[in-house]
Amino acid sequence: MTGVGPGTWEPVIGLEIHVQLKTETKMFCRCRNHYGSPPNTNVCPVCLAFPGALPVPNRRAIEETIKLGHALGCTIAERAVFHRKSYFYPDLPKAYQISQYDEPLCAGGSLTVPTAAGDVRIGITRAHLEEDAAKNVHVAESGRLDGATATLVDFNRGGTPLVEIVTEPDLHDADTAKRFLQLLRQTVMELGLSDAELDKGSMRFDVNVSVRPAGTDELRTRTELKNMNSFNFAAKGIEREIARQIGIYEAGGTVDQETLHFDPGNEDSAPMRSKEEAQDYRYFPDPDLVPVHPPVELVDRLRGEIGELPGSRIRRIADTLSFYDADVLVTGGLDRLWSDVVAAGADPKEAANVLANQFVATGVAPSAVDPAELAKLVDARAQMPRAAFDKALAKSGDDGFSAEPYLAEKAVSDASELDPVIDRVLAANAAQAEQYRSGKQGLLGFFVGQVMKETGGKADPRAVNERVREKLLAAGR
Amino acid sequence: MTAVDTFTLTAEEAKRLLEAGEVSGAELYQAYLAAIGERDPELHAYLHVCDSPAAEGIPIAIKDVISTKGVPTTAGSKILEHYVPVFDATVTARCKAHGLVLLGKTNTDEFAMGSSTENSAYGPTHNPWDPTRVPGGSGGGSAAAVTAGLAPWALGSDTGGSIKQPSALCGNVGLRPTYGTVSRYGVVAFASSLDQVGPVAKNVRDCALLYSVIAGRDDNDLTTVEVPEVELPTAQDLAGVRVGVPRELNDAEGIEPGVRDAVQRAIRLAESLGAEVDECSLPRSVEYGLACYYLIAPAEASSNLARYDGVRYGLREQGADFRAMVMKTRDAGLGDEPKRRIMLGTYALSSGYYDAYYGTAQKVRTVIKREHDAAFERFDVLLSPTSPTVAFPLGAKVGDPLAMYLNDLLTIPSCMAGLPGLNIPCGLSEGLPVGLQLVGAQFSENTLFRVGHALEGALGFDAVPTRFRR
Repeated sequence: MTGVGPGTWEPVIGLEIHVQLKTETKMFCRCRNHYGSPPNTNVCPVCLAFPGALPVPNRRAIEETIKLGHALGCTIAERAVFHRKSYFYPDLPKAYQISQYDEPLCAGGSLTVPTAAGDVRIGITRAHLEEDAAKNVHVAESGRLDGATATLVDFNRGGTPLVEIVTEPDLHDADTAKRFLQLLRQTVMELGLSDAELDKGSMRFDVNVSVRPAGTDELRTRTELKNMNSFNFAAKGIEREIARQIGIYEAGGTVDQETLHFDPGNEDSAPMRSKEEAQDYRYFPDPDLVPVHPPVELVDRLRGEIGELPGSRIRRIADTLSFYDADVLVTGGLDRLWSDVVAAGADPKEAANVLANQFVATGVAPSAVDPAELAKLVDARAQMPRAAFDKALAKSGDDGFSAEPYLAEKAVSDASELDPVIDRVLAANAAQAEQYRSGKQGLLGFFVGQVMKETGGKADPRAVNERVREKLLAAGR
Repeated sequence: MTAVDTFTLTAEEAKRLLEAGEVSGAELYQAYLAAIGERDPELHAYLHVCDSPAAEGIPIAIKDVISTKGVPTTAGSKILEHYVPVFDATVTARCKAHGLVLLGKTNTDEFAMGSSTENSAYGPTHNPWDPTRVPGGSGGGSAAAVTAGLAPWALGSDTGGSIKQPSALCGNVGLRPTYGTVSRYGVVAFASSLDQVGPVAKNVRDCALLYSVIAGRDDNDLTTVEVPEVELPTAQDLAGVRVGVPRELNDAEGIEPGVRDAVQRAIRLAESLGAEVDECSLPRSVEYGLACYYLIAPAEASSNLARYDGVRYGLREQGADFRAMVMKTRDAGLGDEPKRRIMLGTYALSSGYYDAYYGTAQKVRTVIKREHDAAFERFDVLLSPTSPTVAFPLGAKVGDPLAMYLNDLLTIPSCMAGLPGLNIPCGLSEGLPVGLQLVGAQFSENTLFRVGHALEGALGFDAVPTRFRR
């Protein structure tokens, strides 16, 4: 994985995740919290930091952070404090961000990530609430040839509620880091806290990476990877960075503390590097706000609102299916539908395959589907023409959807109907047929695909499969 | 029409005249505009005068750190020179809701940082008793306007003495309310944990009336609370009132003899009105109050003033990039005193110094609060001079920030404790007003009004400056 022999170097990975809460209003004012509005339309004296404007915290955002804290097994603070974090930047109108420092809302939890090799427990240092910065839009100034640019600021995002989740440096490989992020995303989405859409920036993460000689517990200089907008991208970035650091140490060098900014538009480009400045944020308790003392009854009520969490469902479903299937179903938000479809009589494995492959491709919302009707489709899949099956799936979320009309379409499996088509296909592709016979078994799918195409998707793929193989082998004798 | 003498007309009387139809709102407003036209060129109490000829209610002047929708609000700073708020401060809105009409915005030390109004970027205000002298600060504009009959009453703001001290130096009544009783929403922030808006008036009843207009919980300011119903004072005696005389506040170095004498006379008068008077002690409050104030207030100011970056409003100087633009804007837009305090405060909050400075100052603040709490177990009100001196000549302390800071020695301790303080004039020294400071327990504004009103009646101070008496 790292390109270096196991037992030599151990990567140490910590994550810092920002999740935008989808509250109605912003964190400290009553402006709408909405992605995609025309620039600077969801703004007011508070989030523009006009003189004299004062923050009032969003109760809902505090409650949702507590809920997330519960889901992450954190201790909910009896007293939490908002601090000011100071720095000058055009997207930060007060020149300080209201954040939390040494008294966060939630601390000391963990998230257990199921993997094929067993559970991995990742410590959660803290989950705190803060306000997001505005958005800088860098534009080229028209009519200037020297490349001079201007920066426009859209304050719509400024002051929207943001939860920051910090993990312990408990991760040791890119794949588990990726699984952790996927599981966390699924968790916040299921709790209804956030859409956690990476492409819209409503979930963002930074990764801290260092490596150390395996078997030691030292913490070496870390680098920070920023701007990664997909889980695969993050995994790739982590692996590259691990390899780079190992390379440096093995060449006798030292790793510099620096930040690596990735270009989200080009996953293969080398990251931009910047030295980490020793910023002094001059944290102090915001005197405009008072400490938050969440009432015990509220904290208890919010704990009660949390259902079975995704990690535990993966483990439960993995008892029935493979770990891989369980993981795909749960992190894809499909497992509840899967359970219902199985309860309605469908074969578990068959249902999982359909959901994880064809169903996902339709984009139909799982919650819109009638499980009983879907179960009928899953059962009849082998007998149905592929085209009819796909069409039925695409409609499965419609109001009053019934599988019956589609089930009536039977797939063609009769050899007398299939043989002429198969013969035609084999004759037209004699060269490939020869290759198959000389051992290129993978070409079977090609022939099956051609026959399916010729029959307009009406053939039974299993029957075609079988018949094509027979004919290829027969012709070779 | 009744002739209006703006020097002596109280707001309470103005209200009666308006209700009786003896004077119209427009006439009243014109009378103040005329007074401003006549005397403000000399005094410079106003930074902006409104023109509301159709006005119906009682006029009011508002300190220029308080946001007024559609009316410039500069906080005495160049960096906000052309800033016009799009919203009213809660106190402004409450005044309007009570039918008060804005006369104009009064001068202030830049961002309320100062004790003489000489730190205003728009030039100093002059004391109506003697225009060669300062009116105090930072609220010198509001205090001078009320004393010179340029407004029946006014709003000020007080962080470490900016209402009480100018009222003392100008000879009128000013209340710094209990922290948390009056909304700070829309008040240009100086030091958030200390800033309080309060009334400046000709007498204690007007002061109480205006306090009742602005006080009370505001959903836009989390630090506000519901307040006890305001009682307009009527009693002429002080029977049963326990008066404490804190030794350190009455014997502090630098208190002028004339000031001490006038305050002593007032204390004896309180006794003759039936108060039980006894000495007490606030040793730590006075010894450490000023030092801690000058850590906490600049620390918060350094953060509060960071928003003036030229991006969204106010002054913007051109620069090659964002950083250069911000630096040039702040260099050109901020005066020496804000710069001094921003540097002090930034230092006090810096990593490695926070615990030693800001952290320790906050702890001492708790000690100061406890020391006052203990005193209020024995007393209802504490009396002392408000300012160690009478109004000093313009320019006398401009070059010596420390001497200027010492003006607030006696007002700062109770501000640090979040307690209410009332200034009433108690006599003249060298022909200039002396202020008596009444400090009460948390939320004891009604007690301060009662004691202030009784003393005011017995003292019989003539609030019209000698040079304007006819």
